[in-house]
Amino acid sequence: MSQSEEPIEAYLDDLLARLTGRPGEVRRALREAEDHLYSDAEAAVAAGAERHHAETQAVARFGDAASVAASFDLERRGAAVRDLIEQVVALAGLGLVAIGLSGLVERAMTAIWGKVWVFADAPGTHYSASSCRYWESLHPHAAGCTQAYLAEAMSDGLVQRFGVGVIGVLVLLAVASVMRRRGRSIRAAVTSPAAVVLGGAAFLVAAVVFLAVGADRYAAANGNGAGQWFSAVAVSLPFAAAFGLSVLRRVRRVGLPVW
Amino acid sequence: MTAERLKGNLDMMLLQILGGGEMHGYRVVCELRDRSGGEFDLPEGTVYPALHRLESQGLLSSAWSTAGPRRRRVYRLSASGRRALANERKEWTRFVDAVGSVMSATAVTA
Repeated sequence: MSQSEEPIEAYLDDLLARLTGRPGEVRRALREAEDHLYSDAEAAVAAGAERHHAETQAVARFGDAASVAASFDLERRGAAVRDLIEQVVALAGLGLVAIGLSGLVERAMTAIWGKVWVFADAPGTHYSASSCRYWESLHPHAAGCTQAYLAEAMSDGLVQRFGVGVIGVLVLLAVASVMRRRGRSIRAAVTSPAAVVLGGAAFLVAAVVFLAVGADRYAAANGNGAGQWFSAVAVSLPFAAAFGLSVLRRVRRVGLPVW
Repeated sequence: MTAERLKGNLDMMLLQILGGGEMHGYRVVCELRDRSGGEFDLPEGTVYPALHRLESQGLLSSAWSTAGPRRRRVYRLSASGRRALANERKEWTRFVDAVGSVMSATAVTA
């Protein structure tokens, strides 16, 4: 019997030509279609139908290949959008956690090099009397307005960064919870090809920008306050390197993507 | 029954069918066809993308089974799927009761 006389085989050829997506998804869809069609036709033959007629009826009930392939495509696109949203939110959570970690680095820098290098404004900056009164009321043991300002800047800066870090942890926990319900781990979201490229680029750009601002601050303000930017560099650079290594490992394993 | 009305409730019916135990796609379609008395005129092939979607949402899990003449993808309800089905059934019961009340009420003329 030639291929054209076998309705199910002809249908599967047509469906295969129309299915899009990753090879594994296509094979699975085709194999399920094949099992369904032959099961249906065999049930009809067992009930007394002629083979060719049974296959034709099974194909007709399954739906035309274009509609079925379009349904698979629609679901695949929906899943891809969900995956992308999870990846972007997970990366955002990671970014917020990085800000929290930079608070720890900021704290360590303050302990080593002092508050001036991390939090101070440029030398000669004038503060209004009302601002000084406010900061001195919050830090009554500070030796003057500048010291009170530094104490307040450090307190605000650290609380804000740690607070953002906690929000980042909550975001990651929320994403992990949603993904666990889908039977996936959050690791899959932050190690996917799109996520490592996007994450690596975002952290690299952040590191370069923070480094430039910190260097400018170092040169223009005699080093005052440069530490807050360098603390951000100290965290974003390792994140960028980790994502970059992940990209390199993937390129070495599977080659460059073909667009 | 219109395809649109059926599509709106297809996920719930698939969860309900698989609530009875694990089964492969063809059996799911047969159950859908038999339980509806052949009322649902849906291209059977479009049930599979719906099963895949429910799986990607974590409501179903699936695995290949070699028991039988061909390899078959067998679907089963996950814990999240059971919770989703319970919610869907509650909402469906409320909806059917409400629609039934409206439809059975005697028309009042002004």
